[in-house]
Amino acid sequence: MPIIRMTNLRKEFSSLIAVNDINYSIEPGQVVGLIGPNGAGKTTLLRMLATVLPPTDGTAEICGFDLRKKPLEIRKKIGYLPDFFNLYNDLKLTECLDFFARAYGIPADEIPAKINQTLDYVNLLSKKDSFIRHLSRGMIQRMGLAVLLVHEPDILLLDEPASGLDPMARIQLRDILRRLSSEGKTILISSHILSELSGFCSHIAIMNQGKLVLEGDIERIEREITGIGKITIRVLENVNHAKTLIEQFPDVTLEQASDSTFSLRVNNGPQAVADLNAHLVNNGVRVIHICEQKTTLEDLFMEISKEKNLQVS
Amino acid sequence: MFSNPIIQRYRFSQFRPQQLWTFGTLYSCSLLLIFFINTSIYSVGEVFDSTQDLYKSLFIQFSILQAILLWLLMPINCSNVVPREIADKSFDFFRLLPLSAGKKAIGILVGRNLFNILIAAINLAIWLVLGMMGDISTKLLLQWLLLFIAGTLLLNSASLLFSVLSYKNRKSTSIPILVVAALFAFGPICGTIVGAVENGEVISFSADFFNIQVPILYLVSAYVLIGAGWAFSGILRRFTLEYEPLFSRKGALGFMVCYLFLVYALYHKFLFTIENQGAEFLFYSFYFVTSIPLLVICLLSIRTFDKYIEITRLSSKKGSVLWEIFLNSNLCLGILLFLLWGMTAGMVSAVTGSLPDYFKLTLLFLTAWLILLSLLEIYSIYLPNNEKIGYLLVFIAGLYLILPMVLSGLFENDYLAMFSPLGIIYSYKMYHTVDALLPPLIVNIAIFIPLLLMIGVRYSKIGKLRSRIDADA
Repeated sequence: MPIIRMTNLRKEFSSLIAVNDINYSIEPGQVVGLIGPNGAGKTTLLRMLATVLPPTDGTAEICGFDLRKKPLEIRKKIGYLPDFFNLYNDLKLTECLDFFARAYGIPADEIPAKINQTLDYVNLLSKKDSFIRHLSRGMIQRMGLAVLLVHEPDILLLDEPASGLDPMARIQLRDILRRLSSEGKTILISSHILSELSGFCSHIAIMNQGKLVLEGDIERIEREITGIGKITIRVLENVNHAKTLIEQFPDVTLEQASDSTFSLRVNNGPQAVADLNAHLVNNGVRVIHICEQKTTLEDLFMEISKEKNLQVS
Repeated sequence: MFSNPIIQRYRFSQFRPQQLWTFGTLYSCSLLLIFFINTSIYSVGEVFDSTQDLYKSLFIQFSILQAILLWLLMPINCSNVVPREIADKSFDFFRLLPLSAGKKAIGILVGRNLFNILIAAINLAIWLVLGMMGDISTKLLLQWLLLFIAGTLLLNSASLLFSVLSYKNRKSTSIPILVVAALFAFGPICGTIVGAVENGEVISFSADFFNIQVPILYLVSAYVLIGAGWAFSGILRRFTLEYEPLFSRKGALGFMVCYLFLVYALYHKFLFTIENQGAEFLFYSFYFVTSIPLLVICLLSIRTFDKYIEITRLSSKKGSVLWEIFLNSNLCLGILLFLLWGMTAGMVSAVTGSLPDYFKLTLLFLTAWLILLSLLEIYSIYLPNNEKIGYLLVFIAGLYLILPMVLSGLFENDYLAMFSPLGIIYSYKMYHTVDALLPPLIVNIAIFIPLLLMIGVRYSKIGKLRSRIDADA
């Protein structure tokens, strides 16, 4: 049973349709990367799911609760991290988490342990008695995650969580997100920086102009879009001869050639790779390296953008 | 109540030792200063005749101190919570708290003022002791206490409500407005306190609620409590339906009915006992007093262009889109409110024997009201096209309301004031013949027609826009 089920979810701002009748379901434990160009409607969609913004039409069921009828119940089940946020500067880290833990109904005697555990999870335990106003941007971002995690929500809705962070803070944040995904949390995360999502998203959903243009698990989409993907071949000598052979081979497309290395797109599964290898060797080209090139999320997105004719800003 | 997480959150920030120490010292020093100055004056022996007078004077000073604390400082605190959360970008977390709107509202009202409530409680104890030692009547003490409580509830709820009326990203808070308002309000309040205590007459004042005689301070407190109830329900609505106007249709009509009922209750006894000469005054005063909230309610119920687009989406298949828009428009609500008010005023006019005047006056007022409503509607539906249109419309409304009165003064011609709805109040008694009423009526209709056309054009565009959106989707 889906943990999030959107049914004709729609949001209009005057004459602009920000989210256009989206039907989409997310199963428990899935980590969905919500990607798309600026203005695609990602933030609006997340805000609606977080019960911050009322839909114009349609609805969504989250953990079995209807978005329109039971927003308070939904809030207990989710953690939403907005794209731009701050926390209460007049509070210390422990006090801030105490406040949220109480608000989410955690029993008073469990709160101190829960606070320590959560701060430890986001690597902020050493700062527990500091005021929030003394934290760096990266720390505030992690503290934001701690606020969500203190009540152990079933679903995390994260809107561009790494925007504005330096590389170090970004790596720390990604580590936490990876850990959360490995623990089986359901996460819907939007991001511009696709590398941020690589490695821990099990699914992607691509939005453009308010519509969901493609969704599914990454491997399937990858297969659909790029066949088995891309391979790299390095040859020992006869580079020009090898290039001619590759260009003549029916199931591959040469994308790039530099010195003795060729980047190819294979259109017909592993069989084509084996056949190409045999073809090269039989024609006197000595192959010293052949490997599958892992498609990055950027590649995938660009590929889909090309295929679906998306306007990438 | 104290398990409310928001109250707990403020407990952390307000009861830090440094803060307690600073403000505690400040308060203690102020108390000592008040006692020192008063006892010094007493020891000189020229101002106070007896120790009782000394206690009475201290009682007045503590009443004023309490009023400043409860009716000024606490509302200021309440009014800056949400604007500050919005400015600090922490408001999304507040929105998402899985707490009911009531808990959130009480959390802010009590939590933000935890320290002030503590001080107010100490003040209250001293105030009561001083009152008893100053031989202030227990009745007066009780009446004042109820007024303090009712006033505190109203002012704090209202200040929180006004701070959440707009969720725009505001850096500034409404503190300056409150301070200016307080400067004007505190003179009369202090005067009332001093007067009430010194001559004690206020206890004997009473007013009639229908046919029941009620001590004036109790009646004022009851009315203030009703106001507080409305303000609190407004906060609940804002916290629950953030993107909706403050008043729903039913809420707007309900508020108007409540207001008319409360005003009528004060007039009821006089309507059936007064002589002919007084009847005319009663009719006019009821007529104008009850018309005051019409525009305010319309402003607080205003539906935006986005709402109209939403309405057309839901109603486009039902029938005429234009009719649906009109039924759900600000214009329609304004007309309903006018009818409600008009019927009540009509009943009063029948009782006071002023029906002919009522019909003439109401017809003139209706045309003026339609102009004001149209300006409001134009603001609502043209705002997406021109963000600054509000300035122009307020200027036009100001011109319509004020210019005839200015010209009336300039040319020393009272009749000119009849062309402004505000001037009618002043000039109507002099010019109430049909001949005198026709020119302003015609002018009003002439102004209203182009405004109505503008509205009609826009309504039809909304219908077309909906068709385009549906086609794009």
